[in-house]
Amino acid sequence: MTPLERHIRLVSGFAAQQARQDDLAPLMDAGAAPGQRAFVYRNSGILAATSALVSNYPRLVTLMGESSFRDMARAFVTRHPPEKRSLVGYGRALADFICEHVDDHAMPWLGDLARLDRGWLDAHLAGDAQPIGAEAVAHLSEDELMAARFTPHPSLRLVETSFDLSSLWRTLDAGLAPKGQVQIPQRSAHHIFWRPAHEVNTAPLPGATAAFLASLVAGKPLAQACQSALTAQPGADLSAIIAFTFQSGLLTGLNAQGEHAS
Amino acid sequence: MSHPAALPPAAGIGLKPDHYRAALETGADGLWFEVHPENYMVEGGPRLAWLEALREGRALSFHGVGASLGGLDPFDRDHLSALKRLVARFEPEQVSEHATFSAHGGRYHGDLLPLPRTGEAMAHLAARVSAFQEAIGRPILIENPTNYLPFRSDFDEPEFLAEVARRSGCGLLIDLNNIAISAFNVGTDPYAYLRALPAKLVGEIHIAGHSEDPLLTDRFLIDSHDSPVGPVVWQLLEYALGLWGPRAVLLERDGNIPPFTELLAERGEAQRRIDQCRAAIHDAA
Repeated sequence: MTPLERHIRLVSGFAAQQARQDDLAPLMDAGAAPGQRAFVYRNSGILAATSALVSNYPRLVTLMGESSFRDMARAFVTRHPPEKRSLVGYGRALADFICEHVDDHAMPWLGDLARLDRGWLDAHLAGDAQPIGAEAVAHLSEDELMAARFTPHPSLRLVETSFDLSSLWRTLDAGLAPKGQVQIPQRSAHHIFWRPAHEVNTAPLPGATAAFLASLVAGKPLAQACQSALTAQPGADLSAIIAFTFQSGLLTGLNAQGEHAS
Repeated sequence: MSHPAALPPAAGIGLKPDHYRAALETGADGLWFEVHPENYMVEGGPRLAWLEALREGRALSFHGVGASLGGLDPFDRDHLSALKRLVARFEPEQVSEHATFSAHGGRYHGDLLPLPRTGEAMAHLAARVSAFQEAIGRPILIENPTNYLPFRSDFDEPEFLAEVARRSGCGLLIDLNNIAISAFNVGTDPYAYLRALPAKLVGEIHIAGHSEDPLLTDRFLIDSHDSPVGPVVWQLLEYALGLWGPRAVLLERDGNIPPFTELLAERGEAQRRIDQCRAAIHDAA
């Protein structure tokens, strides 16, 4: 190992909390001791990563308060340090991390809230695309329409939660911390995030619509998506679901039989 | 390798998302912006749209933090290709990086970690800068690091950086706040440092505020960019402009971010010094 390799290995190890500051002593000028000062090489990186999490999970921060959130974020950074050279989307594992530590915070729905924040972020950072409207399928026969497959908007994210956070989300999304005890119903809920134009849209979603969209996203033909909706909720209003899908700009391409995806 | 137009010898501001609208609407003369390209390595969405709108009327600089030029890991392919896409799309007047490493063993540290100033490190960094410039098809500037500890070294920093620049063909981005902090923390002479740098290598100057370490307090300064530029750094700016002539000067602010108008006023202080420097040269001629 060359002196440069040893230097980088030791400094990197210290930054990654895998070495002690005394381990850096051989790299110093004769007689100099790293001491407390060395910690700047660890703390700056942790601060950058925790600050990225503050940016990436703003509603979680509003709920927990920034100080508590940063405490949790530091534990996360130690366990899941950044790998990518951009911290823009850092922290994908945060929801699971929160669920693993439910004994520490006693909020069994907190991981679900992180999933919703993540859904928003993913939609925010996703690619741009021009949605298609219902007129794009106007020329198809009913059989062709039912056999058609669609390209979902690249920003479309469907998030299913075990707790219904719709009310809490609305409060936090307005930048407000909830007042008093937070009551969260334990029942499955669906949310959709998408960005048909400049800003991210979000809405709670009936189970039938969620099943319908999940089916389209999976590349299934419209007939199968309709079947999924009816399975999730017998008697679901399919025409309303299809109208919502087009009006909201959730699709960007059509692949009818014999046609290429546009 | 293409040589795009240089940044104007005027004062710029590090662009923050909170300031997009104000930055787009300001009529400030000569103002330019700098961004970390890593913050724009996304598929799409509002931040790219904002940058596109801002870029139409303003000069732009990409100041990277993720290349890990001094590191041992190969260049990150995703990072490099994302950077190349951004450079092709926005055609910034300048691209800069750091004379440090920021990743090792597949882990990104999110920090600019120091290299030893040895012959081995000099050769390594120069080769990496050359390869990086080759990869993105443009010359870059590299920024002097903040010194926190007296690492064993064979060269003074100006000599080390100038030699890396000479071997690789890159220029230098001189961060005066880093020099002020280094002077305080490890006892270097900031004015001698500036005199030792060849003027023709300096393509840009950074100014920023710093803070005291929360535990070591006034015995140790941190490059926190979370306060206005202090008197020591303003003095260094006047001195540096006197040595080198008008240069592009960037005001950095990354914490306790004030309203855009406050940053603009602080940026005006830098612009005033650049204007004075230009007037002094004019008078002398």
